[in-house]
Amino acid sequence: MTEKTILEKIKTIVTPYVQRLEGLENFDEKTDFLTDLKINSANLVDVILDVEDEFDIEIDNTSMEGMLTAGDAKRIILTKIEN
Amino acid sequence: MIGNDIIDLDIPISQNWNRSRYLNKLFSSEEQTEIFGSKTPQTAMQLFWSCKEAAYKAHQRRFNLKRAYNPLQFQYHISSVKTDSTILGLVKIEDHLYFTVTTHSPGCIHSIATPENQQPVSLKIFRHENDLKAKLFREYSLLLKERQSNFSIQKNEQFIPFLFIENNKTEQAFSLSHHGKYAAFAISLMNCQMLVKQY
Repeated sequence: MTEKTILEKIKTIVTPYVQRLEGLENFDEKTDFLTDLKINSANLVDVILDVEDEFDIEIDNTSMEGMLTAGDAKRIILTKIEN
Repeated sequence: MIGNDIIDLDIPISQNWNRSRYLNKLFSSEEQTEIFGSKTPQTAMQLFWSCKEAAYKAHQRRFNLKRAYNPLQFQYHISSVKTDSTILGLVKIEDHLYFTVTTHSPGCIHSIATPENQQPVSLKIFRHENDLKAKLFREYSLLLKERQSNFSIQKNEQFIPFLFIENNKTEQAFSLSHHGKYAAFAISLMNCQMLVKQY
């Protein structure tokens, strides 16, 4: 799976939880789930569960702590897929 | 130091809310026991979340911490129910304790967290208010005897908002929260007791 595909999948996963739709226009690694997309912190865990399902991985608590941008999510997914 | 969090109860919560995969990422087993031991687990879960979130904000501001999504490090438990609508509790993170006061009204749940018990605060909750900052400035204008137009807010490198008076950073402790049609601010009045202009 290419990094571009991973980012596209992340974008699809987060979209239902986004409260600031303009934030999706220039979606890239720097896109911040909280400040750019205004995803509610209680919904961030839904994003994490959907990422786990989509990529068939398990995101441990340490990884979850640092999953605040699309780039963070992509890096975590890449590491988990490789293992 | 202070943190606050508001939850609009008309916004549907996650469909996953009573699945263990979801709960295990947000709440310890002790917290889950308390939540599911209550008469209304769904509301209890939102109450627990708002207190943890309020404590997170107070803790992050107090120590200028990097952002982290680490809800399991914050452990909440109810210490007493004053009335049906006011709930006192404690949040523990590492060696630190935060005292929480939650009000539960029909439309929303609101929590404040402070490192000291019964710390004096100014709290305001609004419905359909699009300019929460203007409301905050108005309150500070009365507290600090400054013109409202002299205030601004800038976030620091950790995304923590700070109050500025004519480009001078103040050490005022406040917290803003939005959810659905609700918005709220909480101001720690301890910092306001210093003489005006002494920021």
